[in-house]
Amino acid sequence: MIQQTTHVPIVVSDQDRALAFYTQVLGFEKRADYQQAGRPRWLTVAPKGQEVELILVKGAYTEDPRPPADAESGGNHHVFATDDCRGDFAALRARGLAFKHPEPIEAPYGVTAYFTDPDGNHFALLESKRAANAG
Amino acid sequence: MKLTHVPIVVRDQDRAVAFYTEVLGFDKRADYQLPGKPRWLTVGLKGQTLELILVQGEARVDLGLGPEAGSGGHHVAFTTTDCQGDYEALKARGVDFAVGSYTKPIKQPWGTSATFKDPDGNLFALVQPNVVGKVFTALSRLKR
Repeated sequence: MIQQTTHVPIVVSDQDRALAFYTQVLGFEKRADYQQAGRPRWLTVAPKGQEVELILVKGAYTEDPRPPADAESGGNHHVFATDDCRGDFAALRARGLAFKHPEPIEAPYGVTAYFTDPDGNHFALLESKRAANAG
Repeated sequence: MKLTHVPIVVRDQDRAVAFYTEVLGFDKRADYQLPGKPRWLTVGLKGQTLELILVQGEARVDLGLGPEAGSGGHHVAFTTTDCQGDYEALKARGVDFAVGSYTKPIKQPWGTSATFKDPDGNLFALVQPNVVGKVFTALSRLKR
């Protein structure tokens, strides 16, 4: 039976630019980067210590469900849990990441901050108020 | 940072949650709506924190590849211990395994895999790694 989700796709227009962003700005690890003859380049990254990998797939939306980069995601976003949203916010901003708001937001469920990658994919950093994100 | 939620774009959230829970065997994790906000609907696999957000919308992506590329890498991958068995069970439940020029499990150098679609055409890979695949994964983690 289906056991675990191991890979999720992110559509990017330029794999090299995306790789630089995910590794140098967000601090992810490159996990796989190879290309079989006649196949697309298989390029994956992951947060340190996590099994799930993001596949940086080269492509373009012909029907784009994503709100503009400066708008609210409408739930169409990836969430990264953190134990220190304000610390990550400051560190990532120092590496040039443009967040949607000047400061992290205090929400009923925790402290959160929103950003997009260079291709307009939406992300949320969330320091949840519930017991420090078990598991 | 740890990835906890991943969006999957679906046209009909009710139809999608039925598919993910009843056909694929996910648990529903969250289902609520704040005034003026979209319905927040998530599913997850037993024993895994990661949740899929079933977000209402319509998506189409062009990878510029032919049917021989299958999903072209634009998929959510699941591990399984029995790809052929899952293929047969899911096919019996009506899951569509026609992705590009593929219709059934295929042997890869690293294991056996099958690709399928949800009702909205989102693509998935069921992966059963063999010894080569397991060693490859272990080595890529050792490099950390």
